[in-house]
Amino acid sequence: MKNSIRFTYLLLFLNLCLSIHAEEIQNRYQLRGVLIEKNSNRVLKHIPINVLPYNRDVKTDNQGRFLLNMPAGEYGLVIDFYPYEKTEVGIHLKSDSTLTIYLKAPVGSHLLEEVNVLSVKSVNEQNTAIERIDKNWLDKLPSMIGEKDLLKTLALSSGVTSSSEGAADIQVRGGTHGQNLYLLDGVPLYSTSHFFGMVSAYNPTCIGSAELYKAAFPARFGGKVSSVLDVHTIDADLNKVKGEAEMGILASKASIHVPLIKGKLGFFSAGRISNYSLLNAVSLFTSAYGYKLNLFFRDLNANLKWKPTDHDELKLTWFSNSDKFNANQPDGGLLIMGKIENSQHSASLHWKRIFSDKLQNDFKIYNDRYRFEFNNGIMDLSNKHFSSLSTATIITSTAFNENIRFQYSPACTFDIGGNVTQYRLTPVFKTYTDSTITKTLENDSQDFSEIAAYVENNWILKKNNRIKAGLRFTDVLYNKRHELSVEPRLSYQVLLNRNYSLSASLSSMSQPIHRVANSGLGIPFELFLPSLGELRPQKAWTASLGAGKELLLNNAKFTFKSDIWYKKLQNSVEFKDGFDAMDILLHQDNVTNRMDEFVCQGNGKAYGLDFSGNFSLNAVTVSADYTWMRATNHFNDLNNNKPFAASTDIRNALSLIGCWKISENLLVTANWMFQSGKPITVPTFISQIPSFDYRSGEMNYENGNALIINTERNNFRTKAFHKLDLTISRSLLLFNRYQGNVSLGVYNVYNRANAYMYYINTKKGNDGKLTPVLKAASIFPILPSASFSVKF
Amino acid sequence: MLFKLKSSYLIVLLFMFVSCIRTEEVVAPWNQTNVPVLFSILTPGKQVIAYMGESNQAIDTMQEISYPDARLYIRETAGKWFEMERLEHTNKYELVIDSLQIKKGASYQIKAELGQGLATLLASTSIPEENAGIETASYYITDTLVYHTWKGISYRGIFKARWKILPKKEYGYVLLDEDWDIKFVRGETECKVYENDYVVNKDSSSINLFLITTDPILNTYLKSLAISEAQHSQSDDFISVLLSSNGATIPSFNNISNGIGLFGSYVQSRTRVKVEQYEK
Repeated sequence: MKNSIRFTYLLLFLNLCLSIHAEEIQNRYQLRGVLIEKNSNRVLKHIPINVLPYNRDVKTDNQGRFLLNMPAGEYGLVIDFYPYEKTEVGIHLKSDSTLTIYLKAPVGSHLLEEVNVLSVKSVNEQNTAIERIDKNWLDKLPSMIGEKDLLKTLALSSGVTSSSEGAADIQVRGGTHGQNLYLLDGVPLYSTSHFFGMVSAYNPTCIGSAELYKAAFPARFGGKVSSVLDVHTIDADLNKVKGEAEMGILASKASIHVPLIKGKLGFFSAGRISNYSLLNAVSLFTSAYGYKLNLFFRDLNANLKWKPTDHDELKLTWFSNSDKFNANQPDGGLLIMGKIENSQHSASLHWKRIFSDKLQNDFKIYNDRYRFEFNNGIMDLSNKHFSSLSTATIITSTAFNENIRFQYSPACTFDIGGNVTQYRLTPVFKTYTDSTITKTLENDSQDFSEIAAYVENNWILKKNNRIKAGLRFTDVLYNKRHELSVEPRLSYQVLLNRNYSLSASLSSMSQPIHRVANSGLGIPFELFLPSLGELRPQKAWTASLGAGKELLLNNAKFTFKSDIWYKKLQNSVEFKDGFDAMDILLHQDNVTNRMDEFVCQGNGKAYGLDFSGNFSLNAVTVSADYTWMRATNHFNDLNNNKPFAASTDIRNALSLIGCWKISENLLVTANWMFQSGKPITVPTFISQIPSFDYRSGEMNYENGNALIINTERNNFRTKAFHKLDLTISRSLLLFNRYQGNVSLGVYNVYNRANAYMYYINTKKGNDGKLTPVLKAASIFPILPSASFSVKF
Repeated sequence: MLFKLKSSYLIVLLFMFVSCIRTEEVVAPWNQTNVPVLFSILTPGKQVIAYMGESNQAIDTMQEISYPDARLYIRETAGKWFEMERLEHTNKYELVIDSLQIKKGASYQIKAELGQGLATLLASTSIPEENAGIETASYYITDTLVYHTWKGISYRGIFKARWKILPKKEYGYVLLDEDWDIKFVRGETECKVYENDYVVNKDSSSINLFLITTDPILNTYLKSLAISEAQHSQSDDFISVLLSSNGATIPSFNNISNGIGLFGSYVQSRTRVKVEQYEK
C-alpha cells in the first residue's frame, strides 16, 4: 500500500516535470509591445488585450508594455475598450518581435486624459474573487451629495455590503469593516472615512487603481482576515503640467502634476476640503437647539516621483487626512466644549529597481500615525480660563517592506519578500489641560512588532491553467512572547475553452490589531486593541470556488461570473455586553491589562453565493450583482454561549447598474441597490419597576425605572434598505482647450426612508399612558447633487 | 453679492439637511407576552422590601395590582422561609419581622407563589462579603464665582476620590453624593474620580459620599439601566439622540426563574469630604 502511494506520487511528479519540459521545448517566441494613445503619445497602463485564437486577456503594465510568449503562428490582438476605438492587429509570429500599437479616442471624451486603470469586466482574466474598480467606472456611477466614493462603489459589487446607508465602509463576505485591510499606496489606513463615515478617505481624483481581494489573497498581503483593498494613487506625470479641479456640494477637490525635470522628476498632489458653507448650514440648523456645531474634513495626497535611470524609480508619498467635529454650548457664564477629532498622516518611500527582464526589486519604508481624540472641556467666559479632559487612541507604525520578483521563465514567476513593522498602540491616552498645566493622566501605550516573510509562485501551466501558490509566516512579537501564524495561500484558474473559466482558492490570514465596533444602537464608534495578554490574533480560512462565462452575440457582449464561498473566523473580537468604545475610552483605566474585562473572542463562519452579470450593447451597459449569504458567530461569553447572527448577516444584496451613453458627450447612469435587513439587538421585555434609593434602601413608586431585558443578541432585523440613484453627465470643451464635466444627480429618487439608526422613544397612547416605542431615523431623503470638474 | 450667494447656498443646504431627518415607529419585538416581574434589593441594616408586578410597557402601571393572590417569602439559604407582607392596595411587600438579619457574605433566596396555578418564581443572591471604602477624597473650589445649578447657588471646583477594588472582580461600585451619582474611572486595582466641574451648594462645608459595593447581578442591572437610559430618547431631536446614544448591547441580568426582574444586593460605606478653597 505504502509503495503504491509512493509510486503514484512519483508518477505525478514525473508528469509535472514532463509537462513543463514539453512546453519549454516548443518553438516559442517573444512578442514585446507597447500601447500608446495616439493624440497625446501617452503610454496606456493596464489596458486589456485579447489574444486570438486563445481568447485570453493580457494587460499592459505600468509602462504600457506587454509581453507574450507564444509558439510560432498566426495571432490576432484585439483591444476593445471604452472610450477608445476598437483596434485589431494581425501578427505572423516567426521570431522574437516588438510592436507599437496606437489607440485613438474620440475627441471630447471626458475620459481622454485620466484613463489609467480601465474597466475590464472580463471574467476570464483573473480569479472571480477579485474585484477591480477603475476610475472610468467610478466616474460613471451616481454620487451622494456630489461625492464619488470608492468604498460605496465597491459596496455595489457582489459579496460586498455596507454597514448602513451612506456609510463609506465595506463588509466583505460576512467579515466586518474592521477585518478589511485598507491600503493606500501600501500603507494601511486606520481611519477610512470622513464626515461620520459618510465619505471615504480615498479621494477619487487621485485613485489610480483599486483592487479588492475577497479571497485568493496574494502572499504579500497580511494583517487582516476578511479582505484586502489595494489602492494606488496616480503617479506624477514626468512630462506635462496638468491638473484637475472639481467642486461639489460637500467638498472641493483639486489635483496637479508638475514635472520638475522632464522625464526624470515630477510632483503630484491632490487635495480635498469640505465646503465651509456646509458647516455654516449645520451650525444654523443646530443653533435652534442651543448648540453650535462645526464639521470639517480634509485630505491631502502627494507624491514625488524620480526616475534617475531607466531601471530605477523612487516615489516619495505623503498622505494626510483629518476630521473635526466641535460642539460648543453656552451655559450661563460658561462655555461647554466637546470635540471629536480623527486623523491619519503617513509618509512612505518606495524604490523600485529593475535589474533585468527577469529580476525586479521593490523596497518600501513608511511611517504612519493615526489619532482619534475625544475632548470635553469648560471655559469661564468672564476670564477665559478653561479646563479640558482629552481621551485619545493613537497608533504609530514604522515598516520596512521588501519584495523580489524573479521570473524563472515567462510562465513561472516567484515573489519573495518580507516586512517588519514596529507598532506603538495606545488604546487610551488621557490628558488634563487647564489654563496653566497639561497633565497626562493615562498613557497605556504598548510596543510590539510584526515580522512577516513570504514566498509565492505564479505559474502558468499548459492549456490555460494558472496556479498561484504562496506561504506567509507572520510573527507578532511582544515582550519576548511570540504569536506565530503560518498562512498558506493557494489559487487556481483554468480557461476551459474560449469562453469558460473556473477558479478556486484557499487562503489563511491573521490579524494582530483588532478593530472593535459598538454592537448596540447608536453611532458605531470603534476601539483599536493589540493582540496582547489574553487577546490572541484573529485568524481566518477563506475558500472560494468560481466560474465565469463570456458570450458574444452579434454586437452584444454578456459576461457572467459566480462564486460560492466559505469563511471560517477564529478569535473574532466583540465588546462584551454592557461595554462600548466610549465607555472604555472615558471610564476605564489600564485598558490593555484588562482587555478581557471588556471584549471577548469567539468564532464565526460565513458562507454564500455571489453572482455578477454584465451586458453591453453599443452605448448601453447593464450590470447586476447579487449575493445570498449567511454569517453566524459563536462566543462563549455572549448570548449565553449560543450561536447568533453576525451583524454582517445581510441575507440578500442586489445592485443593478445601467449606463447609457446617449451621445459622445452625454452619459446617463442609474443604479438600484437593495439589502435585506441586518441583525441588531433590541429588548425582548420592557417594563417598569420602582426606582431604588441606595442611600436609604427604599423603593420609590413615583419615579420608576425601565426594566429592559435582552434575551438574545441580534434578535431583530432592521427593515430592508433600497434606493435608486440617477446621474446625468455632460462632457464639454471649455475655451476649446480644457475638458470640463458637469454632473447632475438625484440620490434616493423615490425618497425611501431607509433607517440610519434605531432608538427607543416614548409615545403617549389614547389612554394617556406613556409607552416605549422603537423608532428608526432616516437621514437621507431624495437629495439633488451637482458637481463640476475641469481638467487642464 | 457674496452674501447673496452664501444665503442661497445655505437655503439649499438647509432644505437638504434639515428637512431630511425623518423618524418612524417600527414594530418592536418586546412584550409579546406578559410575564411576572419580581424586584428586590437587599442590604444589611435596611428593611427587606420587594415589588411583585407584571410586565407592562406602559409607564405609570406599577401600582396596578397584577397578582392579587401572590405571596412572597424570603429566607437565608437552607434556612426557614419568612412570609413578606403586602402593603395594602399595592404591589409592594415588606418583611415586618426582624428575625431575618441581612448579613455580609450570606446568601438569601426569595420566592413568589402567584396562585391561580401559575409557576412559582425563585431567585437567590449573595451579599458582598465586604464593602470598599474611600481611601482618599478631596474637594477644592476653583473660583469665587457662583452659579445657579440643581444644587442651588453653587461653587464649582475639582473633586477627587479614590478607592481599592475588592478581590472579586465581578463586584460593581457606585459613588453617590446626596443628589447624584458620580462617574468614575475603573482601573485594574482601584477606581478614581477626577471631576473638574463638580459643583457644591454655596453654603455647604462638606460633601456626604456613599460608596455602594454591589453583587454581580446588581452591577449588571445598573450597567443595563445606564445604557438603556442613554438609548432611550425623550425627544426626536436627532442630534441629541446621535450624541447621547450608548453603543453597547444591554447586558442580560435577569435572575428570576419563571419570570423577569432582579434579586440583588449591596453593601454601603459613607464618607464626609470637607469643602476647601483651591490653592495653586
